[in-house]
Amino acid sequence: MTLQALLIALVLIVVIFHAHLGLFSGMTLIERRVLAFMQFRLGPNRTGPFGLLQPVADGIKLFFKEEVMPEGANKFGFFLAPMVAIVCAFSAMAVIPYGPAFHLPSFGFMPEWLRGRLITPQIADLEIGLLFIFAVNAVGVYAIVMAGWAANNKFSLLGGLRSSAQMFSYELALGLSWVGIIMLAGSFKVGDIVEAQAGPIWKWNLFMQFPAFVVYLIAGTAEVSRLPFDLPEGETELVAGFHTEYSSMKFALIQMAEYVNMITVAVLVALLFLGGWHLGLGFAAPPLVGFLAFLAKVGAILFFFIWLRGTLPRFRYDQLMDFGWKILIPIAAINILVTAGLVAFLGQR
Amino acid sequence: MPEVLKSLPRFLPEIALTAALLLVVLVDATGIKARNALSRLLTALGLAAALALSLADHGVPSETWSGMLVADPMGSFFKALLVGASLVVALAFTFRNSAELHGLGQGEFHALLLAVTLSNLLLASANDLAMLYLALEMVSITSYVMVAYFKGDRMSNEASLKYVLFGAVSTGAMVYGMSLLYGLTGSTSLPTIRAFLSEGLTDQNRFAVYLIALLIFAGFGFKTAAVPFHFWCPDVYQGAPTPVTAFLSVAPKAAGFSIMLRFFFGGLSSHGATPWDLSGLIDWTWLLMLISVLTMTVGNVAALTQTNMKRLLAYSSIAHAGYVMMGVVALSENGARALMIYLLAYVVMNLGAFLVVTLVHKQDGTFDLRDYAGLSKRAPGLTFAMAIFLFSLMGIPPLVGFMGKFYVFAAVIERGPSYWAYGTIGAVNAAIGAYYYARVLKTMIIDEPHVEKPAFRLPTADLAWIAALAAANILPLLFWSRVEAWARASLSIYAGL
Amino acid sequence: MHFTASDGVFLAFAAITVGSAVVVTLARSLIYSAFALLFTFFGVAGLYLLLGADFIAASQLLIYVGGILVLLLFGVMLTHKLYDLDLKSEVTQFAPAAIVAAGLFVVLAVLGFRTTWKIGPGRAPSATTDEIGHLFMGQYLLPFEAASVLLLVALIGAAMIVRRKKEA
Repeated sequence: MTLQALLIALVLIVVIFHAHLGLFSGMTLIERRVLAFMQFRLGPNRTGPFGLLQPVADGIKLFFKEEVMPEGANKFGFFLAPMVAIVCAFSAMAVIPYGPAFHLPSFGFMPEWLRGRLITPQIADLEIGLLFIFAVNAVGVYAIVMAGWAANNKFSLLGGLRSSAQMFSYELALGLSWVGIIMLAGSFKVGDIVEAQAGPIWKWNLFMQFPAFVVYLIAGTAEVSRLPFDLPEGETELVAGFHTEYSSMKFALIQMAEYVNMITVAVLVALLFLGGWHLGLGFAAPPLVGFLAFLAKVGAILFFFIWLRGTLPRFRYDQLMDFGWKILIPIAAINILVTAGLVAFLGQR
Repeated sequence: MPEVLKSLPRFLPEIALTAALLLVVLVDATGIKARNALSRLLTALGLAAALALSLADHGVPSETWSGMLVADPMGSFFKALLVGASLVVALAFTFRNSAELHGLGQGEFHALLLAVTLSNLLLASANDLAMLYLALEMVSITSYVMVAYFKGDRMSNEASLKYVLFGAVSTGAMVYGMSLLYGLTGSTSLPTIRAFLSEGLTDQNRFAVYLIALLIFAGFGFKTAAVPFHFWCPDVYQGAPTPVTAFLSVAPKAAGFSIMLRFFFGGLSSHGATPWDLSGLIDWTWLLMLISVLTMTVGNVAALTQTNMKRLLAYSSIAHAGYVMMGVVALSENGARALMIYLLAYVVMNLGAFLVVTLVHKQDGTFDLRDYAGLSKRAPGLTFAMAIFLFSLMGIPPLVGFMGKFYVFAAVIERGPSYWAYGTIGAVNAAIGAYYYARVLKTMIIDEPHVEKPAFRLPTADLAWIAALAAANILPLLFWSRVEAWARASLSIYAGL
Repeated sequence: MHFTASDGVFLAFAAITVGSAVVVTLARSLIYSAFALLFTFFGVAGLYLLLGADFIAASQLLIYVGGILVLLLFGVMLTHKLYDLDLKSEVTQFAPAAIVAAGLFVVLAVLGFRTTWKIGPGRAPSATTDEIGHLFMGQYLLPFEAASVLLLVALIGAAMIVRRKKEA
């Protein structure tokens, strides 16, 4: 890796990281506003125009709140958990391409090597891309288990246990739902999978791998513990689940990790199933148009998540387990079987 | 793809077992009323088919599945032996005549039985360290579950846990040895390893191979319950449901010996002018001789004081592992043949003894030797059969057990004077063994019972199986030349040619 | 022999692996052992990466860290905190264990340094996923399929052990 490539990667890291942070704070507001709209309320609209400054106010509030360390808590684990959560949440974005490759424009002030250089908005194009995301996701469970255990609180512990069991069960379905699209693209790289969906709209995995799409959307929702799968936090039963005892910035970090995970899932749905930056019209759009289309798709999925939260009640624990093990996993497995057969007889695509 | 098509015809027994396994699982999942009977039927059919297919394989010895397995006469012999043992267990040890299994789900039991049998077959014909390790783990893991079948029972669970712990350590040692062997030779294929080692070893590398042989033996020793890898054996045999114990005492042990033969004869020995003019690439015979002596001595001496029949038979099976190993130590054509004949005899005599133990437990609810007192009056037929099994285990002529002992001792003695001491130790051990088997007989026939017990009811099916197994201990002698010819015809290890 | 950057990386990963493994064995509380095991697995995954085995490294994380260890923690936490069990592992028979371990170490160290290992031609690190896939479907087809039978049986066994004893 040359120094130039390293520099570009650094810039990409900074840009993508901050884009996520911005989207996170935006999402906290949007979620509340949209939910309010669905429930015929107004939502936060006092801080700044349309309540736009609400996230800033929230941030400041959390920043200045008192740090509470529960009695009998394991300090090491209590401190480590939010960090693990946030690190895992942000690690996944390393292998995701956030848009099509594009050529930099040539301006006079640029050094020679930057002019017209082809940039892929992806930090590291790992050969094992999807597997990496999956692995990092799996490690994310530790944050919850650790948080639940370290807080020395029965509700936290129960929340942690529930959460790990849930993520565990749905991770299987999630991983299995990817296998079909990996087989179709013949690659673990997210970029390759997006490129495999180029062309007319029915080339999208949404249509070619519809069962996988449904399974992934559901398992993904469960993976980030969004309603109707928010049992780990189920406030009526567990106060707030594994993060009951967290306050101030640590709470903010956990919150941030959850939102970032949600955004990652939305991005992945857009990339893996909705054709990413392809318009589905059979011709390659200019990068900027593609990028906007990609953003629109991500936005739609995010809206879908909020919509779910506004409409669906929570699962019961046994229903959750039954659904994951007896419905999602078999569907995903059959999908793999059928896809494998088709790929073997017809070739990829 | 051509490789698969080439391999499939030599893989039919395993396919039959796999098909039966899947069908049993599916049938059990349907939840229909007849599922228990159906799963038993399917198991019997699958095993019978596998037995027939193993016996029918007469192709030339060759590697199959890209060198993962071999198909050779010795493999077919062991396959038939292993499948046969499973078949007897599946049919003779029913859920009806075992007080421990009575009322438990049968589907899983049969599925597990089929799975262990399948893994045994894979182990018996493994030709690559990767396959060997996987097959051994498959045998182990399925066995762990079978031991725990009697769930809710403390002993059964404890036995399973002990089995798991010992298994983990032994296979851990084995796989470490394998990694070293790979590092040394750059290959996992047994023929390649043999070829590499045949090119000569420096002294430093010789030391490494000794250590590797010892480490890898840990895995085989665990499967065959050889000292010092035997600690799990008495507890597991006692804690497991008796049909499972009976099965574990023969099938995985036989599979363990077959792979031991394959590994040491086919991987760590070179041959001279003829295929069976073998000599060790390292002097592993002394290592195994030491283990063999320890195994038979520890087994026999510990068995002397046992009062629980299952524990007694457990130590007896350890001792028998020591005798069987004599066939490996002999490192000759006759040694291999002796090992095969011994195992053949061991299967029928040991399964017979365990069947008697199961039936007595069903009737009287006891495994205690003292409660066997006066059995001869209540069940003369059963006592007579038990006498045959025990005499066979002792090695008294004219029973198959004697033939087994005769062949292994002969194979060791003919290796020359330096092996005579070893043979003598074996003979002394056989004498010690005779003592505790005779003690069982004495209790059954001479001792007076403490309490009066009801008459012994023996269902016809069980009686038939007892009679059949007893006959299997005598009748083969009538056409012994055929048995011997079969064993002789099976004397061909692929890698040894 | 000079010290290269990859040597340094190796030493760092080895230190993580061995150091946390020591904690695993010596920690008094099972939960600490379990959490320390997490770092051991990470270290091993790092070593795999260093050897150019990217697929195995990710699988290691996925299976051991994401699967097995979570279950382990699950078990420890359920018994430890919910039932107020005191799960402490005593360090018993320290001296004999230390002697055996030291002896084993010496033997293995001698073995490691004196033996002439077979060293392959070596190759530049490259993506391994494709190759692993072809090997699984080619040379190692049978072990691959056999493993699937093993997993099926393990599943049956686990379900059987866990299920309550009721029906005939």
